[in-house]
Amino acid sequence: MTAPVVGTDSVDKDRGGAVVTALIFAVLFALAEVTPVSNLVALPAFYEYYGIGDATPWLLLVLGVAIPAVIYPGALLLGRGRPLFARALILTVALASTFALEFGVMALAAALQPAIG
Amino acid sequence: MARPDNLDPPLQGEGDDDDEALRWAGDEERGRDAPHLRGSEPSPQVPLEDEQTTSRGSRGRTAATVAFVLPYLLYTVAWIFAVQNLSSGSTSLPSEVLWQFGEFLTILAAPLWFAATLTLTRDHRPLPRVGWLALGLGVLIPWPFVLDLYAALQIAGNLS
Repeated sequence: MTAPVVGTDSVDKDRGGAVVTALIFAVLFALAEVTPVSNLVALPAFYEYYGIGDATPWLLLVLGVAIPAVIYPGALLLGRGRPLFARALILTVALASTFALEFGVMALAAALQPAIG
Repeated sequence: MARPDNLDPPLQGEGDDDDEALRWAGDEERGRDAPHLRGSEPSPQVPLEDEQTTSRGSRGRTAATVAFVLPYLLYTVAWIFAVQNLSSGSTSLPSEVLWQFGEFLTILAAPLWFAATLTLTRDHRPLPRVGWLALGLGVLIPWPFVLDLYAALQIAGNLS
């Protein structure tokens, strides 16, 4: 008689859960990219239109796009090898922090914007 | 008739197998010890010195946690105020929904970071907890609130 292998199903379920969680958060992080990308596309044209094209905050615009792209893989790495709950918690905090950072970047860009007109 | 080849190998120690059966995958990660059967090896006693060290570590963790409560509370309130002054400037419903979702998560960012740090560093020494809590304060600076406050102070300074 061999000892029963306990927990194999649980490990598989955890792995499946981790993949599903990663996919769900990938979509949410992609949504977090919408505003920065639209800012990157629209804001330079807006600045040009008002004759302040030289003051386009390129660094902040690129930073806004880079934030979710960097934080998502970072959160995945941080959650590697942890239980499913911990992974989901880390990804949730990462998503919330992403939005907070993006609002911060937008506020800084607005503060640096020269007066129009 | 079963041939000797088909038979399972003889048991090497029934107690070990029983202990193995009571262990679940992931127990080690969660820091749980498997229950032991009566008569199997007793768990080693923790020396008094270790207990004192653990107690000191626990006190340090608690002190660090309490010290960070107020800054995180302030951040949460600051983000609540900051979010009031932000607007998407968009008229489309999906953009507005996404914006509101972002604002909601932003308000929750500081308490979530705090709670997650407490949960994930429960069995760690105080230093990692302090490090993560300090990092959170650096990452989650409520810039819109800070900039509004700075502008308001400048206006107040010009008026006086």
